[in-house]
Amino acid sequence: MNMLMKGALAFFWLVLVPPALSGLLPLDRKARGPERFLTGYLLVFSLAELLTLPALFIRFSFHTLAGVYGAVLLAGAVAGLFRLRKGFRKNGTEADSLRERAGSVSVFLWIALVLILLQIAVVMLLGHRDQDDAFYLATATTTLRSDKILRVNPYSGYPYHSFPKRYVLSPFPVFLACISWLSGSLHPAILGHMLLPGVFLAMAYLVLSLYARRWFGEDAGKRGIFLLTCVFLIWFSGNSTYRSEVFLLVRSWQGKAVLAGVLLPFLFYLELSFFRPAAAGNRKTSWLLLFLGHLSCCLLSSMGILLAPVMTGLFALQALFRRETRHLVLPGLLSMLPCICLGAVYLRL
Amino acid sequence: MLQHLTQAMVQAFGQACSQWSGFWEGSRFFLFVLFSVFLLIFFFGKQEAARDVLPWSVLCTFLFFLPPAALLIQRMIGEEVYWRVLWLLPVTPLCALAVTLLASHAGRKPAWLLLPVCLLFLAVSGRDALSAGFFERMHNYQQVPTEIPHICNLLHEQEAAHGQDRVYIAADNHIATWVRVYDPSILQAYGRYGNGAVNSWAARIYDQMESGQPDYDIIAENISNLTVNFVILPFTDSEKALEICGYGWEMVGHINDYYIYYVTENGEELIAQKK
Repeated sequence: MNMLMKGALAFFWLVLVPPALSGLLPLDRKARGPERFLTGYLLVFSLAELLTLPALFIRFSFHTLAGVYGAVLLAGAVAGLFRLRKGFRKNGTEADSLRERAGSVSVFLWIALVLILLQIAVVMLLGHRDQDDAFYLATATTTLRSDKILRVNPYSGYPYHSFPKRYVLSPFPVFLACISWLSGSLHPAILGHMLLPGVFLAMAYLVLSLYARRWFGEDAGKRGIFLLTCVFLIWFSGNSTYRSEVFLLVRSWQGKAVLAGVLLPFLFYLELSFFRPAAAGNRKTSWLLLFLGHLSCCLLSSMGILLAPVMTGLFALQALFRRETRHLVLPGLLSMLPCICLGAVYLRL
Repeated sequence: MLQHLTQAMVQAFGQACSQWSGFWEGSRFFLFVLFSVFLLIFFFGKQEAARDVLPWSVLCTFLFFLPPAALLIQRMIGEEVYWRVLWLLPVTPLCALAVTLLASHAGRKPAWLLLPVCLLFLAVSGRDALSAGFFERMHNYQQVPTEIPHICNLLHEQEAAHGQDRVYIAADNHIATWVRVYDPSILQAYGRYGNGAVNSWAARIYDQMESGQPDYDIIAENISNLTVNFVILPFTDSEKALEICGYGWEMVGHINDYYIYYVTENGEELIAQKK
């Protein structure tokens, strides 16, 4: 299979499947493209975590896992599309509202869009050498080659002496390997270094556009200023090696960079929508999305198993002090269940 | 017990302070963050948007420095990465929000001045990702160092030429880091920083390779104990690279400064003779 075909398959799995999957989720009728794309990815990541962990412990072969994962994603996408189609018939198509909105885009937003596309081109076409690839990307290539899930040491190519407990509950490299396999065995390094940075950087800006929509509504001028400022904040973060913006720019094929730059900001947005819906015209986020958000954070990094519940815990604490939001505390805490369970497993391993 | 706990919490607090200042790295960007927080508190505090981020940011910062929480989190994730808790702070949306509210409340004409000033400050106080040296042009789709694909191809050619059924290498840290990212069919005695060393001989080889002045007698002796069939070493002096062949290693090629040797079967004998 030639490179173009593999690239097309990767595009299908990374860009077309997630928004289709969002049709399965309980989203507000007014949910637009960015929200659908991002919530679709919550399902993509959550399904990866739910399927990989049992496959790992039951010792399924990797190709079985990848095949099942692909089938589930495909079935979910088809079902999601049917539901979306029904919704569009009832409420008018996204394309109708796109035409309406195209006329109201401000000059700041256009400038921001151009700069964002330039950034995406830079992260896809230029390379960044990060030596952590010796573990993370090599785990993906090793998984693909050995057909075993986290049983072979990526450093040597020989079986692990002992279980890599620090990484086993957050098998993001296995997700990478699955997408590679589903894309006609596209080399994981090409997927990780060339394609994923573009996708995840775009997702980070989609999250920021959700903040802009929440805070400034239909005011295109303010949304444009907000996004333009974000572009500068992210691009000129090069004097730090710790900030999430830098991780996102230079290491976005690693789970912790996606956690820091995309998932945690998106989870923050979901928490705001869940615990403070009145501030955004009472558009409430379903508890299920919070739950999937936590599960997705678990896939990306062991840091996610800790940081996601810390975030929710602090939101719940704030909610406890307001009578009108007190009833949200328990559901909010229950959404942390994936992290609590996996945290307990991590401590026992 | 209480004294020990108190001491641990004091230590954790100290670690939190040092990692807080390390996170911002003394940059002017932190001033921008403080300016944004100041604007949001004193000028835009009643806006719902400010109420979304400010209480959360204060609570999160408080948690970061709170000794019992700091101690617990540091014990769970490790002290050296405690600074990652600061990823919970919504720095980008907070600063962008402050700039947007400032520019939009100043009126149309002042906004056209204020916004560029703020963006210019960001550009000057920070560093763009290109000039920071984060990116470079790569010459292969996998975006690994240029010599890696060439070395891997050479290894497979030599594997076939010598009738070997696998490629098993010992190399320096640079090659050991990238080879299996590009080609996972190649086995290694150890990976990056000697991780995954298959046994103590492999660990000794790595230690010698990275010692600064490697003792090739020790390397060769330990190579002969393993079943490694290729060794990859960096040399700037080609004469030195040829001397190594005295260990029963056949030089099969070189890529840039890296020399690739096939470990012949009489290596052990030659090493014993040298002794």
